[in-house]
Amino acid sequence: MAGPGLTLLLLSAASWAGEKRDAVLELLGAFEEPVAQKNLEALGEGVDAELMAIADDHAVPHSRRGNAVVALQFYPTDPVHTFLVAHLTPGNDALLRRKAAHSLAAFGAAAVPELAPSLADEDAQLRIAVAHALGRIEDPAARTALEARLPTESEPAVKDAITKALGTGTP
Amino acid sequence: MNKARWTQLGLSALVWGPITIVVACGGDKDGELPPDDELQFEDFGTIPLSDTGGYVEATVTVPDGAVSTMAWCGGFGDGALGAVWTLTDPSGSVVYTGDAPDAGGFRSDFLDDLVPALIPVTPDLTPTPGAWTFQWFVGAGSTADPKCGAVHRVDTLSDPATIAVDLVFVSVAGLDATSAQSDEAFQAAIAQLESEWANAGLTPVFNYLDFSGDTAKYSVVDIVGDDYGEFNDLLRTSSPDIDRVITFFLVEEISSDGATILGLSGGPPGAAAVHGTSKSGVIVTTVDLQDEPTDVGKIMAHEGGHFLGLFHTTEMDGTRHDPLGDTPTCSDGDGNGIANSAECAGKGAENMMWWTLTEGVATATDDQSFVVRSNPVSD
Ligand SMILES: [Zn+2]
Repeated sequence: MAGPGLTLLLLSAASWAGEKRDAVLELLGAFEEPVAQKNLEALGEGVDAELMAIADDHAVPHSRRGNAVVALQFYPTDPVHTFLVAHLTPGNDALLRRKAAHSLAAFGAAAVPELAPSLADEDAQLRIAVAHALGRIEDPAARTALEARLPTESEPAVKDAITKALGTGTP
Repeated sequence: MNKARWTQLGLSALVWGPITIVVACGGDKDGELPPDDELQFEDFGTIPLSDTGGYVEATVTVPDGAVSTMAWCGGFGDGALGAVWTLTDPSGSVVYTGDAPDAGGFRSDFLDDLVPALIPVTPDLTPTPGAWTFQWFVGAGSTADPKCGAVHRVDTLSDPATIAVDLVFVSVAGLDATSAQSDEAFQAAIAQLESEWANAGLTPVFNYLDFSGDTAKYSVVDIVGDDYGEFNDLLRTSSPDIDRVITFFLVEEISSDGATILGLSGGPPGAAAVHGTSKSGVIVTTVDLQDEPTDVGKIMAHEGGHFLGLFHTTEMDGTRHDPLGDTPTCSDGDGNGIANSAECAGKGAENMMWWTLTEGVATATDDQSFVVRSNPVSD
């Protein structure tokens, strides 16, 4: 899954590894508080690279790797976009796929073609995450994708998520 | 089953429930579960409330010998918020007001649907016998008139205290209520919980149960925006065999707007000994069980602490602290908006109720121990 772009990105991330790691990991490991944009920004430059390094570090507990992917929504750059699309690909870790789907919503309409196919993924929890993500994108294409999936979706919990996403348009 | 003696399986897990092997019993109460007959319940029925919000009042009669009282009003809907607004003791003194929520020996933060009010949450305000007046404020958006009630624990305070814990397996990768009892990672989590709670004077006794509801729905508990409906609905399924028990629902993940949160307690404080409500237990994320099992034990210890009446010693931003007198406090020393563990070393970052995961075995203070041992579910 790691193409040349991603490899370069990770090499670049390595130069930051460790510098802000403890501070970032602590925010990612709060008991009840999802990591907030203002708290990451307060740590200064280079946090996006640190987040990508943490997300791919198998020595880091799963929840914090996933939260690193979620926190990347606050850094809507091309390298982050590439990183998230790569992590949504089938065959990757299930938790990280869900988190990548969530963060891709920050890219708006541009992410709809990347998210929509995962509404048919075999993992029901991923389908729920994608429904939530598409529900956050205020673009007709996101709505069309959700409406197209609804009649064929068999899992009640996913149907519920799609219905909610269509009903509110926002999380 | 309710009066089963303690059984000890595997590492150090104490287990009660439908277990066939009885290996050991002991403790200060001869292995008995907390008896329900030490609880006295009051039912105030349904109290009318306008859908634009308003105040709800109940006179709560604390009996002689009570070590704790939990009064509650709720069922007003997941879309409305409420809190205790005033608390008046039997002498007529107003001992708490929402105008000064961090003053005095009581605390009530705004909660959706149901608001438990626990005494004590500090040693400074204990349930003296007589008629107390609890007044709750409920904001706009209620969907039903609240039902209100109270439970009093008439007992003596033990140290250590026994506490019964129902472990409900909703979705824990590859584990169920049977296999978890001999699973190395799960038992490491339990050992961590026991070590941290021992520092708070609590001895847990466990009952392993499989979840009988909609696992597909609740394996990932989704909180979306202000919609805590799924979280509340899972807690509403709590229906233990005895009243004095704390229910831990073990799920793969709690997702809050996409982010994994490690755990969440009803309340705090939780609806102690009152079951089937939106505040009747704790939900624990277990996605790290294989990577870092002791973290899962830490989550259980921390969230259980919230349920029993503890708050963060210092909140993440360093501006708010718990109401206890002997817990260390810390503030944001470097001005980046976060009271982090490095700058708060020795000032709360080692405590079970620190806002983020701690290193090693977390500590607890005497006041924290007093609060959790006093709770109606403890014995
Ligand atoms: Zn907490």
